[in-house]
Amino acid sequence: MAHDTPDLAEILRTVHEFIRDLKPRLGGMDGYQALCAQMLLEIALRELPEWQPQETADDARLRALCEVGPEAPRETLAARLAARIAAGEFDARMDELADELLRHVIAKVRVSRPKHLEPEHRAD
Amino acid sequence: MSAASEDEGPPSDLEVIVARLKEALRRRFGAASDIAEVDVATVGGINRTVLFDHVDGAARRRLVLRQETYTTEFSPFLAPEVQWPLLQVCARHGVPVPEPVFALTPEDRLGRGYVVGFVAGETLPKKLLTAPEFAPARAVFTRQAGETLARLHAIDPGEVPMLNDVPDSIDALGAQRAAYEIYGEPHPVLEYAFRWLERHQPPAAPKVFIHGDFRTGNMLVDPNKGLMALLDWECSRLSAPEDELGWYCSRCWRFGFNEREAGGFDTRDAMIAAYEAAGGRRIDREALRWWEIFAHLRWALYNIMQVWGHVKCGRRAPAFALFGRNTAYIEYDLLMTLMGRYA
Repeated sequence: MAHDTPDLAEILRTVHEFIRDLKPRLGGMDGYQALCAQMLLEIALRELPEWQPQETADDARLRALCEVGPEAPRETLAARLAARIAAGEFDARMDELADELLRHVIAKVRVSRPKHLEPEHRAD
Repeated sequence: MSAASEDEGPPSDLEVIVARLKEALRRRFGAASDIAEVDVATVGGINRTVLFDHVDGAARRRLVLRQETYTTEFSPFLAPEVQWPLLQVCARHGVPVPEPVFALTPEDRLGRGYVVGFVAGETLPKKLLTAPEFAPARAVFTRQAGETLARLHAIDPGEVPMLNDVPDSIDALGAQRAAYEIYGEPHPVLEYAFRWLERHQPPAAPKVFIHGDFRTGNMLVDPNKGLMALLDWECSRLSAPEDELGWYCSRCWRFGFNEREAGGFDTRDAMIAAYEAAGGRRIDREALRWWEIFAHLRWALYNIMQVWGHVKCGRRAPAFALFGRNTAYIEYDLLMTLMGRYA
């Protein structure tokens, strides 16, 4: 599914930069382990393009709300749905849309901060 | 020639800062001025706070330099030169703020900012809300908060004309929409919030001078005396009193004490009662709810702004990246509140 910014590559780059800049201030074994952590993140960044994103239930939910099929790229779904909401296309069924959006946002929070969710939202 | 221009950014080397600060003090308070006990309190997202003693012969006074360290072409925050007169107006009206001492000028070569008197106190929400030694402060805090906000909101907006053309003063929702469009990241939940807020606008009422970021963490609190000073004036604007109280009471700022809506200190009802008892305008509950939803939207956009700075403007730090992924749980709270599942 499409998550908010930063995406996975950006997260890895951010931590990589942080460790790279921190490393000179660490000595001995910590400095050595920081170097290893930096190299691990470089491996992950090079390997990342080999990974194919999976179509998730949330992608299907957004497709249904946007009334588009699998031909629409998943990274365009949030923008399509946002535009439809802004245009007032859901004004007559805002409550129904809220239920769908809650499921959408739960899917995001299950990845970004699962402990923040109410217990009944932590797993299906 | 490579003479330092006015556009030169603030120095980041503490030795340079201290040397220039000493010159700045001498220009204003005489050649005997010196500096001691320098301490960098925080290097925040957009400000640096340097604490120091102004030594003048036998006299010593603790002061605080507040420097803007970062700004983008698009920043929703008030520039220090706009915050400065607000502090002066507040001090004149007995609203507790750090005493304004002097504003930086280009001659100081310290960038943009100002120097204020040091106020002792704690800001850390967890400590304020749980530490046993702050129990006396907790007992009086809501009354003080109500009195302080009522006094602030009673100031004639004519005294703060510099807030008239702040986008948030003109059209609060429109200002959020403009920011959202600059960041360029589509968020269906925020779009939903925009739509709901547009369609449920509270009736227009005269606007008052609000702090704009009044929440637990942005004030100095003494364990026994309670509220000492309101900090962080970069979000000040003209708006409804319900905007100020809604931000304070929103779930964004309860620090886990969700049954105590007013900043984790007290109930929303207690806060409204304190505000009204102190002469504040009667709070419209429907409008307050609208502004609490608005607060979630505003806070989500603030988080998106931080990650936008990280990804698009080259201001790199793990904290700014993580802000971006905080947006999802703010959206969750927003929806749960909007759907009536959270109070």
